[in-house]
Amino acid sequence: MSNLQCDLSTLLQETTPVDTLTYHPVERRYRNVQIILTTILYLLVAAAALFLLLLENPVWCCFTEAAILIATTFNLFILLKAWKYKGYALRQQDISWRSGVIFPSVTTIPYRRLQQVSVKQNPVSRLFHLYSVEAVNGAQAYASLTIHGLNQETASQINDFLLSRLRNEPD
Amino acid sequence: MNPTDFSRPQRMSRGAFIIIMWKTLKKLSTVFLTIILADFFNIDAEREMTLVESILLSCGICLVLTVILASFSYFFKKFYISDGNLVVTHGLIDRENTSIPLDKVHSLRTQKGILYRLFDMRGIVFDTLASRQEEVELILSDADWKQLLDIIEKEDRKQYETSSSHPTVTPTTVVLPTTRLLLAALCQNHLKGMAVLGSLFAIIFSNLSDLPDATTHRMTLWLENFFGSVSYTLPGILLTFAAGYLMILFFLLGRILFRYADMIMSYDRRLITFTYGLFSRNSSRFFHDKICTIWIKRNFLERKFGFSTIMLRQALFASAEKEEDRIKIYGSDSSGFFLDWWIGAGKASTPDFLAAKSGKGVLIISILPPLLLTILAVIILCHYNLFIWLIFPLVYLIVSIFKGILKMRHSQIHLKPECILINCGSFAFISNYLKYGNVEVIGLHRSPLSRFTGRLTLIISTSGTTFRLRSLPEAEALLIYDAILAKASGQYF
Repeated sequence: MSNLQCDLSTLLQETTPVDTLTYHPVERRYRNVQIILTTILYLLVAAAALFLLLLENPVWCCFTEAAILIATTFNLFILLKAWKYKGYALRQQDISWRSGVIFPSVTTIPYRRLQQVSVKQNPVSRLFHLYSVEAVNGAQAYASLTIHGLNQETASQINDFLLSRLRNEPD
Repeated sequence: MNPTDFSRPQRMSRGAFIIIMWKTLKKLSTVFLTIILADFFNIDAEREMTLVESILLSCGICLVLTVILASFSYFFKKFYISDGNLVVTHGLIDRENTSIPLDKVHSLRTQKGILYRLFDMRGIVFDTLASRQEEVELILSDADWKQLLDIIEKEDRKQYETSSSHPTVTPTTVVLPTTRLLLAALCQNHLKGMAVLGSLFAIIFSNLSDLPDATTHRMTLWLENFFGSVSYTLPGILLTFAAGYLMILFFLLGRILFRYADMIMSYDRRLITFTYGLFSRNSSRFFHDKICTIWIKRNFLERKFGFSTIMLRQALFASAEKEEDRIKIYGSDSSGFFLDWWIGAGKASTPDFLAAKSGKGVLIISILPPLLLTILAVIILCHYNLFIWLIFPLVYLIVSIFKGILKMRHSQIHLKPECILINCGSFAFISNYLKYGNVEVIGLHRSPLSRFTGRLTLIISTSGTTFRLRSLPEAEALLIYDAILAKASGQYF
């Protein structure tokens, strides 16, 4: 795999430190999906507020719509930032997923602890030809790591790679 | 092609459709029955149809929905075996392609009810360690089931042959004395039980309004007669507290004695078995390779008497009996024995090659909720001029600060060549030992303050336990993260 980072020779020096890993971004289309879904959601909330408050209390209605507009703008701004930060990295022995803007986090699962691998598609992601790969382990917390926003080829490559690692097959 | 070698995607056996239909009908009929009953008892409603007609219509809709949903479940679910993986594709709206390596299947549960027997079918549930994941269920004919089982057993045999087997050793039996158990039970923190007692009283008081006025009045009179003179004085409050404490103490002593009395432990290299209980005898088995953490707790009193409370925690999966897997060994002085048995002789006490200690963030996170609660309580009590009661929120705050300081001091991680030691706890000092091979997932979480404090949270999860180490120095946490991953990868064992 092109994005496989392997440089293992001694305990710490052999692995690329997690802080200096190069994370591969998810598809741009995934960002568009998220923007569309978020906008639709806020439009629905705004429409509901308009319907409920316009006749009863027009002043409060204006305030509510303004608040919803600010929240939408803020959320879309965060979404764009979050999309840029989201990414995955595959190493010789583990898979990492980075996400979050306000509370950034990195989660790593060693391949030898994987239990199942799934490729998923929901109706919206199918519309945009996007896939997600879910790597499930037996942990009590963070029992699955899902990489969203992949194209078919990458999803299939990652799925095959994880399955081969799961069965301890050589590269 | 052999029709039953499962090498190509295939649907479940034909009889499965009827069973899926029956299962769907059972689920839907509950909903429809509720709707019919609601309609039946709604006398005021203007009806366009007679009751019989509406029942027939509901049944018709229910049947049509059942056929549609069962068809989706049956026709859009296919499975096959490829490269030692059981691959299940399912879903029409949410499409999913799940691959489960056969050697990762922990247990197979089969179901054979009356309907299954009528069609010579068997429901098979595959349990992996991914306990939170929805289990994969296949409904197969007996012939297909035997063929599938044969393939799984072949995979199992391959796995068994490659893994090193332990030589058979005669089990050693040890009896843990009940007197020591009683002493250990007395050393536990019984104040925790006061919260349970408090919530019990809260429920009783919240339901007082439902009682008839005469009964409530009589109860108030009785309480005033017996406790009126002392109820609002400091000795009165302390006396009530002491009575509650004694009640809890008595209850917990009894519980521990009934559950863990006459504990017998027998062990060999592969397995430890505990048999315990005063009247009903229970037993718990812990396999060497299934244990994921050894938990050792020592509070002030336990340290003074030279013993500890130990818990062996093992991997939990869907069919595991979780209650049985959580036994506590009270009053034990054999923590060294358990560590040597599980990790290797003397390996738990080897020097660290990396270590980190939590900072003040732990203290702040720990005291923030009690501080807010105290402020709220003080405002309410001052508003109602109940100044004597202020002693409770103040004592609570002081204890919480003390608890937070201890929590901060105890929160540490030590990496040893063969195991990870995670210390935590507040009034009690808790040591958790885990092997690198048991680390399932590891995560690093930063907060908006991390860039100023240079601290972050490290999360380590095994199949039975999760540890969250807050406020670790960033540089050390990153080193620990990489070191654990390198060790957990298995290349360095």
